[in-house]
Amino acid sequence: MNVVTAAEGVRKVRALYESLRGDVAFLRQAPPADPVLSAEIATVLAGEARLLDTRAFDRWLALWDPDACYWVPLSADGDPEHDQALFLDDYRRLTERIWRMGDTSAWALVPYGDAVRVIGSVEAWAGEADGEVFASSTLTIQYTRMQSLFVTSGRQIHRLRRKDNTWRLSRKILLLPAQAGGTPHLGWLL
Amino acid sequence: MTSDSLRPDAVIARGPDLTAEVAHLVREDVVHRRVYTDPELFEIEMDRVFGGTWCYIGHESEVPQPGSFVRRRLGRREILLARTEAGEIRGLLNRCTHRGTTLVGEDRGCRNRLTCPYHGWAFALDGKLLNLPIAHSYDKLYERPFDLGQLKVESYRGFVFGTMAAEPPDLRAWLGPAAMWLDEHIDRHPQGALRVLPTAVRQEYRANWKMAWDNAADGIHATFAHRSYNLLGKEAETDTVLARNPNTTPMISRTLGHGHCVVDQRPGIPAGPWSTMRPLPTRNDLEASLRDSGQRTRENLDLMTGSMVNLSIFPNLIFVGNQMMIVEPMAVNHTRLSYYLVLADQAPDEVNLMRLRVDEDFVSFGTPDDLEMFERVQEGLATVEEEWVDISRGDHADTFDEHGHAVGDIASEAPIRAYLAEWKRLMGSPIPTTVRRSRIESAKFMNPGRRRQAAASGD
Repeated sequence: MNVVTAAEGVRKVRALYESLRGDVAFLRQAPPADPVLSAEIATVLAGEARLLDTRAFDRWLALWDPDACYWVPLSADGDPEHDQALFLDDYRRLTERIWRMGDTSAWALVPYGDAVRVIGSVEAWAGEADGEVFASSTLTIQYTRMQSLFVTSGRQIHRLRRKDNTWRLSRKILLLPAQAGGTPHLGWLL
Repeated sequence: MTSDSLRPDAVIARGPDLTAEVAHLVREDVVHRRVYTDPELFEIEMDRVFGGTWCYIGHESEVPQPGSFVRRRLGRREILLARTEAGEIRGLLNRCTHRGTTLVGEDRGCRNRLTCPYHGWAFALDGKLLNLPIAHSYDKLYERPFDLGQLKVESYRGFVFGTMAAEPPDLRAWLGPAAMWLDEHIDRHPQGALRVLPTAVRQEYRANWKMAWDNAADGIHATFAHRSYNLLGKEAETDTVLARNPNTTPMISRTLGHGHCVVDQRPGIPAGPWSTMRPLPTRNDLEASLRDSGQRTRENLDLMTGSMVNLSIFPNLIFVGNQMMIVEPMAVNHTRLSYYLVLADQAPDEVNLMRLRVDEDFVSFGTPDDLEMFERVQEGLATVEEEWVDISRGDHADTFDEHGHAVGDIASEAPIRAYLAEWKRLMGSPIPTTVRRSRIESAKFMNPGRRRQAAASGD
C-alpha cells in the first residue's frame, strides 16, 4: 500500500481497529475473571438481551454511550483494518438499525420476527480506565419469523462503563462461527 | 475422442435432449415456473450451466504465491483455484483420484503438495501425483487416470474463469462486449491494480439461484423493494442511488450477449458515485484525513464506493458496489451468495479503509429486502396452476446496438429475457465435457506399452 499518511483521522480509525483486535485477543490471555463483578455484569447483559428480545429498541439504544462500536466480524480472526465485516457500526448506524426495526417497509423484517437470547458463561474483568469493564459471554440466539427458524451460537464481548450508578454500553462484539459457511441474512441482528 | 467413460480422455455429453422442453418453458415474454422450481432441471443446470460454459471461479490475487489455493464450487463439483510451483493458475477438482475423497477442507491455504488424508496419495498443485504410499499394491494404476482432474481455466486480466466443456468458446469472444465493461471496472483502480479479499460475506436464501439474475438489472425494484433503504437515505438527506425515479432517470441497461448485462447508473448521478453515499462509520475521519493530505479529490472519493456500473457476467458473477457477488446454487430452492470485497492497492490508504466499511451499509439495509423478495417469489411459484411468469416489461421500447444486443432504460426486463435466452441455449442439448489431467498420455489406455512405471517417478 501507499505511504501511510500521518493524518489524525486515519490514526483514529486505526486506533479503533487496534483496540477491537485487542478485545478478541484478550479472550485467549485473560486472567481468571472477577466473580463478584461477573455476577453483576451478568444481570446487565440479561437486561440488554431482554430489551432486544422484547423489541424495546429505544430503551436498548439509550444504554449506549456516543462512542458506541458494534462489530460483527466474519470470523474470530477477522481484522477490521484488513477484512470486511458483517457490521461495524458507530452510534449513528445503530440509530439507523433501530429506525429500520420499526419501518413497515423493511420487508425482510415485517412481519416481525421473535428472538430469544440465551446468555451463559459470563465473565467480567475491570478495565484499565476507572469504572470500565470488559465482559465475555456465550450467546445462543433463536430467531423465528414467519415459518422459519434460525438458531446460532457464538460469543459476545461487551465493554461497559459505570456512570451515575448505571451501566452504559460502549462496545459489543459478536463472534458467530456459523457465518463462515453462510447463514440467512442477519439484518435483524443486534 | 471417446465416450467410454473408463478412458482418461473421455468426452461425454450427459443427460437428455431438452430442446423442445426449454422452448416450451422459456417464451419471448413469459417464463414457466418450473424453470425456478423443478429439481430435475436444477440437476441438469449443474452440468450444463455450471460446468458446460465458463463460470467465474476466482481472482488471481487470491492465490498470490506458488502453492496458494482457494476452495470453491462449480455446480456440484468441489474445486480448487491454485497456483503451481511454476506460478501458473490451475483449476483442480478437489477430489482424490483414488476413492474420491476431497483433498482440502480449508477455504484457503498455501502448500507445496495436497495430501489425501485417507490413503496418503499426494499431488502437486499442477495436479501431478507426487507420492503413492505402498506403490507396489496399486497394480492397475496405469489403467486409470491418476493425476488430479482439472477444469480448463483462463484468465481475463486476473479474473479466472473455468469450465468442464470439452470445447469451450474462446473466453474473450464469450465475454464479448462485457470485456470492455470489465476493463472499465479494472481501470478505475489506479494502475489497474485490484486485490480481492479472501473472506467473503456469505448469505443464503431459500429460493432459486436465478432470482439473483432476475434482480441484478431490475431498475424498478429499487424503488419498491428498497423503499426502506431509500427512506433511510432521506433521513440523512442523501438521495441513494436507488432513489431515482425509474420513469425519468437516464440510467441505461444493456444486454451484452451470452446472458451478460450491465446497468450504467452514472448518467443518473451527475454528481458522481460518492454523492449517493449516506453517512458511514469512519467516513468523517477518513475524509478529513484525505483533506489534510491534499488528496480529497473527487477521483479518490468516488473510488471509495462502487463505480455505479453494475456488470453481470452470466451465470455467477455480479459486480455490486465494490463487491463481487458470486451466485452459488445449493438446491433448486436454496442459493448461497458470496460477496468478495475488492481493494485498490495503489490508492491512498483512506480509500481502502473506507471501502472496508462502505458495502456493510447495503448488506445491512438493502440486501435483506432483496433476499426476502426472492424467497417470497419462490413461495408464490409453488402454485402449480399459475404456470407463467411475465418478463415482457419494456420489450416494446428496447433498441438494439451494433451487436444486436438489446438496450433499454432501467425499467426494461431485457436483461432477464437475455439471460434466459442463454439459459435456454445451454440447457437444450447435452454439452460435451471432459476432465483434463496433467499426464493423460501416461495412462495405459493411451500408451499400452507402458506399465508399472512408478507414478512417483514424476515423468
